[in-house]
Amino acid sequence: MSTPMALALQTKGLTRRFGDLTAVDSVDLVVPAGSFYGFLGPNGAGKSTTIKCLTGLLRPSAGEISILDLDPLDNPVGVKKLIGVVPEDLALFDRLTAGETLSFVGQIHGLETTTLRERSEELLALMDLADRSDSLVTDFSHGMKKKLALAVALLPAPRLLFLDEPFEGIDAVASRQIRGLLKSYVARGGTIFLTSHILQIVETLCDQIGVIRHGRLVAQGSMSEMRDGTEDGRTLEQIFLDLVGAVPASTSSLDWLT
Amino acid sequence: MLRTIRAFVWMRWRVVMNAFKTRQRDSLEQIARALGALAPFFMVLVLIPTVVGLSLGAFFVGFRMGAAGSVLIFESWAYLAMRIVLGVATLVVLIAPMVRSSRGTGSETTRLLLLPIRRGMLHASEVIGALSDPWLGVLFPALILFPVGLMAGGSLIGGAFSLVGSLLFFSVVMLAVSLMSFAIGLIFRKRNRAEWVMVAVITLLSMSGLILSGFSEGWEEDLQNKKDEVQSGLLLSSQQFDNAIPAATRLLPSEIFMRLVAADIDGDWATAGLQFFLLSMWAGVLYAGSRWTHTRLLETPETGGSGKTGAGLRIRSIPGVSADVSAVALATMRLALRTVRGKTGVYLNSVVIAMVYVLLLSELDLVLPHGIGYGMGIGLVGCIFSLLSLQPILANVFAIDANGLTLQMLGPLSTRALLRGKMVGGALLTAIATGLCFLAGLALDPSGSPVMWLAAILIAVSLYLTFGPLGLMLSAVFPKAADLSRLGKDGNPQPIAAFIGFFAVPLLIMPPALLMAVTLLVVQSVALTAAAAAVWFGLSVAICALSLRALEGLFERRRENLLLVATGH
Repeated sequence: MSTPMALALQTKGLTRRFGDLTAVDSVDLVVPAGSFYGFLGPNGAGKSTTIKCLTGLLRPSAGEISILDLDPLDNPVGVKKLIGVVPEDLALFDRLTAGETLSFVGQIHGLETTTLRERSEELLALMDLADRSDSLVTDFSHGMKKKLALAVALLPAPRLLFLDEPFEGIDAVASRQIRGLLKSYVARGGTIFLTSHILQIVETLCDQIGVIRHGRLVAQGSMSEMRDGTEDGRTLEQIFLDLVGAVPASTSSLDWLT
Repeated sequence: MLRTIRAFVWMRWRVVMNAFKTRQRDSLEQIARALGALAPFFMVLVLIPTVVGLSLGAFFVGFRMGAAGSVLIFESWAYLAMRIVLGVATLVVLIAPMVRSSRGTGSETTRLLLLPIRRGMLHASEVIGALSDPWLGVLFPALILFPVGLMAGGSLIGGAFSLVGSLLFFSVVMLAVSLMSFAIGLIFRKRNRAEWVMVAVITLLSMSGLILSGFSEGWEEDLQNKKDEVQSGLLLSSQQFDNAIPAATRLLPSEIFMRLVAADIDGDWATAGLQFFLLSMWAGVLYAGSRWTHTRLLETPETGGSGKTGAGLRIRSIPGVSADVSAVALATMRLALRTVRGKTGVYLNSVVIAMVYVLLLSELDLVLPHGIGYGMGIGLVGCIFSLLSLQPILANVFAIDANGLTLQMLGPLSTRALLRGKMVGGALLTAIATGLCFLAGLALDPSGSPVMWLAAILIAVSLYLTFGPLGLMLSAVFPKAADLSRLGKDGNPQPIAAFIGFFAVPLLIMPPALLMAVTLLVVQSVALTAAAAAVWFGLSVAICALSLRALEGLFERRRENLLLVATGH
């Protein structure tokens, strides 16, 4: 008899409505502990709204959430101690320096001063931001802000990381560095819940995939399960396009375009 | 050309209307926005009578001058008043872009470069766009109706020439406003430079009256002379006015325009031609300057500046409070002190109040009650002014964090810790601002009983303890995405929050002020005054603690809306 799979995250009937718009519609997510979960969907499918519900920024209209066996609605502070988040708007104070930002996060997580300093130095060096630790965030480029946001998410050593488009606007060198970092994080037992439009990266990193379309989860499982029953050699992009029902652009349209 | 202008007008209108469209906002936020939208409506209500009054006045004065065939009507006062009004109006429309100035406007201009419009046309569209400036809107009808009045009064040729002069003068003002807007936009291309320029502008505006009075010798005698003149009915003539102002002011566009009008009515065509030439020169110079600045604005990328604080990885905390409360408080204080509004709100009051004391109050010889000195008064008045000038922060303390609010909500921070952190952060800012005022007071006039100094400090602290929770409540109920480095409405809190906050400060100082007045003036006991201040302080602590607890539920209900507003959704 097999032991039940330990879950880092599970939702049952997760729903979020904005007026008459249902942005997330009865989503049942299952994210095994220690997995690298890729959450995919076209623009406006409900990915970011789902992440906001999972991380406590939005209250679900219906449904249940369990994060590392805790209910974030009952114990929001307890859950937030265990997770790290890089949201789509990056969530950084414009007029704090990189060092002050890390200090702020470390202090609200209750880290000891020595630990906080050591981790901050290490993270800033890894993100190539060591010489910008006393620069204001407002003067950072988008890529630098993204790297700092990732450092902020990693600082308290979370057990579950939510990353909303972490590779968008990141240069190739930093992207490779971050991918290596995330892989080693998962190898050490951490769990990552990631959204990205760059399907090639998702394909190389993720072992679990969930696809959302019009607020509904249309597929979920391991990468091999996703490929089951499909032709050999199909890429994640082809599987994704089939699942979201993308219609190939008509060659006859826009014939005025030279 | 017309199609381009129509497209610009339509775009501005849609931007305003679309600001109200979103499914995600809750009903209270919609009400707050509607109330915020009423502010321009009230402005229009005020502007309409001003426009009508000014236009009718201009027509009437023009008619009388046309009928008299001279500008010297009503003891020449109408002519003098017109000169002053036009001079002041020109100054106001030039200052307005400075107050509206904001970082990011240049980016919008640069984005327009992507449109298939020549730069010259883009520049012309933006100059004509200055017509949307309400102050120019006030000026335009009056400038047109004045020559119309001249013609109606019988001075047909003079009126016709003056009409051309009016249009030329208006073009000069419009070009000057555009030049100012583009120059401010260019300054704002570099964040550090822009912030310091704005700090300097606020400082100058705040102190302009004091500096002028400081430089004018024998102002008391002047004041007395003016009073005597008014009482005896002897009014300043245009000639006297000319003698009183510097000769260089004759080259101001408003002065040239008025000389042009006078020459037109007198039929002195040589003088009229010269004034027309001078105005045309102004228009030419301003056009060239405006075009050059506009080109520079388009070609200059937006940069931040070094922005180095030298803080490195120093980890600080406030003793006596938990680490999370301390972190929120320090972040709040640092954020505020790195903005124009924060810097001026914290540092400027002590200087202004000290200058008021040095220039004006120290001359007065009032007999104060026993135990009281001017110094502690400076401190207390400073506390009131500090709270008023810190309103953009204290009455909008969540939304000004922008994306930083998301960071706080993602962290393991309880609502109680967040509220306490914000309260302590506001206290630090108010303490620095008020502390500087008390220090200035102590330096200028240390007289008074030490017990009364302590009582004054207790009352100042009490004022913050009662106002702080109200500020948090206003911040939670009426949030507004604001940039504290902007001077105009973009840096202000919601108008309704600002309105309540503005009146709450004097109301909250009333109880301790009354207590002090009774104990000092009626009972005449310093000890009793200090005791009353201590009692009020204790009561304020209780009010603050209870209010913070009550605010937790309110904050929880407003949490999502706060996030949406703060992050600009």
